Amino acid sequence: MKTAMLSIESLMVFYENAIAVNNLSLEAERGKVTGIFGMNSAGKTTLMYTISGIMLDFQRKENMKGGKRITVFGELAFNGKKITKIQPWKRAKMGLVLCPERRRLFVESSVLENLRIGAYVANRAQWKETLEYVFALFPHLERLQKREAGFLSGGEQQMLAISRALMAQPKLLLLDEPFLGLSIGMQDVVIEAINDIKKRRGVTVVISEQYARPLFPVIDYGYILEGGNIVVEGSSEELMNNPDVKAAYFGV
Amino acid sequence: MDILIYGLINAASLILLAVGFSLIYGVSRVANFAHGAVYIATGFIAWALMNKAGLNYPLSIVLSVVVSALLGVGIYQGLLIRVRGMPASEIIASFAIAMGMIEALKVVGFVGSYGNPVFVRGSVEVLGIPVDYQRLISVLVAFGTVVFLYVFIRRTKIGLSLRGIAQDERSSMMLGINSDLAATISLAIGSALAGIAAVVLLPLGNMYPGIGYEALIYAVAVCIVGGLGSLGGTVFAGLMIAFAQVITVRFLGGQWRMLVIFLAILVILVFKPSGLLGRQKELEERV
Amino acid sequence: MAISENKSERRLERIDRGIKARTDGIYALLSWREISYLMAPRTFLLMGLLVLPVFLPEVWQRVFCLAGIYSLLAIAFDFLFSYAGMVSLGGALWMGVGGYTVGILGSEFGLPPVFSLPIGTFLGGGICTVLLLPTLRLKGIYFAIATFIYPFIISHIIEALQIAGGTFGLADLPVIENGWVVLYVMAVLLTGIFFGIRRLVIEDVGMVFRSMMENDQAVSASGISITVLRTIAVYIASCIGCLAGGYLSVLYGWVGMSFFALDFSILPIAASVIGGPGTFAGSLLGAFILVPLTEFLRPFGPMRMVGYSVILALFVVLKPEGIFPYLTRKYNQFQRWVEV
Repeated sequence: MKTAMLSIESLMVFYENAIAVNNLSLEAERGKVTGIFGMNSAGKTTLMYTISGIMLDFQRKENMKGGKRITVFGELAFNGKKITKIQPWKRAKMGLVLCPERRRLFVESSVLENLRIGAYVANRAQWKETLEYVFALFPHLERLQKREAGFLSGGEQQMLAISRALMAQPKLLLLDEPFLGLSIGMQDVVIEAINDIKKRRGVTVVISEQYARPLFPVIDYGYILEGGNIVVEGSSEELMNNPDVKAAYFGV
Repeated sequence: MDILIYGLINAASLILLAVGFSLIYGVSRVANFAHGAVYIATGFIAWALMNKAGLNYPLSIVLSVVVSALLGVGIYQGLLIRVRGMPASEIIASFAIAMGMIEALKVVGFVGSYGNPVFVRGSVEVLGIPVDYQRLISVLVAFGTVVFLYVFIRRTKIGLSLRGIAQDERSSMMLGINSDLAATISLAIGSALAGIAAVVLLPLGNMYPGIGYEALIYAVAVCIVGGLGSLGGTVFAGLMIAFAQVITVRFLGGQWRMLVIFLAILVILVFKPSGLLGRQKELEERV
Repeated sequence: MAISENKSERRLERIDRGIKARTDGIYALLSWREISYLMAPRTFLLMGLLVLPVFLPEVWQRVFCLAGIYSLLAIAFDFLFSYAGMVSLGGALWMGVGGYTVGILGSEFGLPPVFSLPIGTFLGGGICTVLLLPTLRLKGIYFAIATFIYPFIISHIIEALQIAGGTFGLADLPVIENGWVVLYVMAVLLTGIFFGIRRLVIEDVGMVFRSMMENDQAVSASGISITVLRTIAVYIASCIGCLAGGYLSVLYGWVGMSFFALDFSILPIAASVIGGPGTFAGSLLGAFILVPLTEFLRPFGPMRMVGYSVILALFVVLKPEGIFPYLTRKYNQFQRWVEV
């Protein structure tokens, strides 16, 4: 399969009879940053959970209770390999790591222990190397090593969440709403980090966000979602010059 | 002085009973009510291996501990995996299996008095009080188990993954941790701990299937007082309850023994609801 | 997608069966078909509770009464668990306090059951509530353990101090002589409480209970006292539980230590879980499955308890959602395959 690291073909996700993702196809190029933008209820988080495989776990739990049923159709391929039915932890081992919405840190553990748990699939050398990289990326974290994750501020938590995901040695990093509740200053830090991760580590990144404006300079290719459908797609410049996008995201 | 010694010995047995339960709850958030049943079943399996299969004592002890770990795996894979995340169902399912195991032991014919032999016969004087070797061994084993668990959870990769699963299962999955495997391992280790407790503690008295229920009550009580899932809390609560028990028996008489324990639990629950060293989930997520 | 694959891309869709007009609590009756559709399950239940006992042989009438007692306990548990968010293992506490209150009223004051049962119900409920007051701020499994410990403490106190009949309990209490009255007191009470509590939880106060379960901080931020609410919930549940205890003491004419037995805490929860928590009908159904099951297994001797636990485990594992929600779904919805 061409150069695409991740390709999704006609994906549909139903929650009971409601459709969350409707016949969606997209691709993420190797070594590039792909953005997925949309309002609330556009299906971003559902899409992220489906790519990372957490949806399979949701499905299992719901089926157990016999209640709401979640159905997923379509094909997911990672590095040219079909992963539609593969369990999330196996996907993580293959290098597909999600940094989830609302961070979901291990709040009772210290920062360092969070990173240790994140490095579950890494070997010793990788752990050392990534730890150095992460502390260089976010020097602030190094001072907080012993602090419990639950006592960090929102921005620090986001730094930790990204670092933890990096510990799992991703080849493709999924960032779900990384700007949630962050100040403009913190957003810049995160954007810097994304640039650095892409350039220095060669990790492919897929970001989903509501606040598209600060991200347009970073992304290489972007999709705009609405009601579970892709309405516009294109490179960063194409999107910025698109009148509809301008109206919706730049308030022009 | 004798209060100190007996208290310590009593604490050792309580801690041995409780650590396995605490580990399983701490990791998989499954309250394994079959813990006591695994405990007593291991004792009888050791007895049967020795007296029916004709194996020698050390071998049958090792084998029975292995069997107890397998029982844990079986309980998780066969039963609990289908009701994960529904606490009421988990409790009922594991309690049902506990009842089944204990009653099955009765059906097989283990009623009356059975007993496993002690490891080393005889006793030694500690600070002027005679103590059986077996009780001394139980203190040592309890100490060893706690140290082993501490190191295991903090330092090994599996231990770390267990800590991750305990706090956020789906987050751990995203990082490559197989949550079912981790929970199975925790049940295996927790049940093996129950097995170890059984082979060490049961030779101290008569064996009968009903012990399964008593062991469960003790394990739960210690874990609740200490704070569920906290290793330090379990040790501390074990010591506290044990001493309270010994002191009560000494000064008030045997019939008040259980009552004072229960009152202590109630008082602790009312004043420190999360247990002595447990942590309340007060840390709200920050957006 | 290729056309040939289209056939496999199907999805099971669930659709509610339509009822043409429905307002809150009152059904706009349009046709006999819809009336019977709505009323059939209720009629079935009423027939089961009120008419069935007539045709039962005497042994099974006893079982019916026992099942009724466990149903009451299961309903009380379900009310606290699903509508107030408190996991209560206090079945034995309610049974014991209710039983002893009615027993003492009967033996010390010589009251006949007509008076001792209602007085014992409300008085016993009050006693249980006062006892449980200090534990009200506990949550989840901690509340469960606290309620679990009470019966042990009380029975140990009775045993140690030899009060209220001590180890032997109170015997020769006034009973109701007529077997049919005994039977129908249970049937009518059970029916009344079942429909009453179902009505209660959809009233305003029930809604507040539920919101308290989901987010107690939000409720107290709205200026509603959680402690008062919890006390009310516990009092309601305790009254139902004490009624069960008092009824058992009237049924046997005896009350003793075994009223504090573990069975009364565990079995109602099992009934509620296999029936489906949150629907009181599930609790009822569960109790009326489990209690006769013990009777049915009696001829198997020692294997009885083993078989019982295996069946219990099977129920929980095979239908984790509960039997009643499953039946409701089958009754209220139909499924069809749709192509996507």
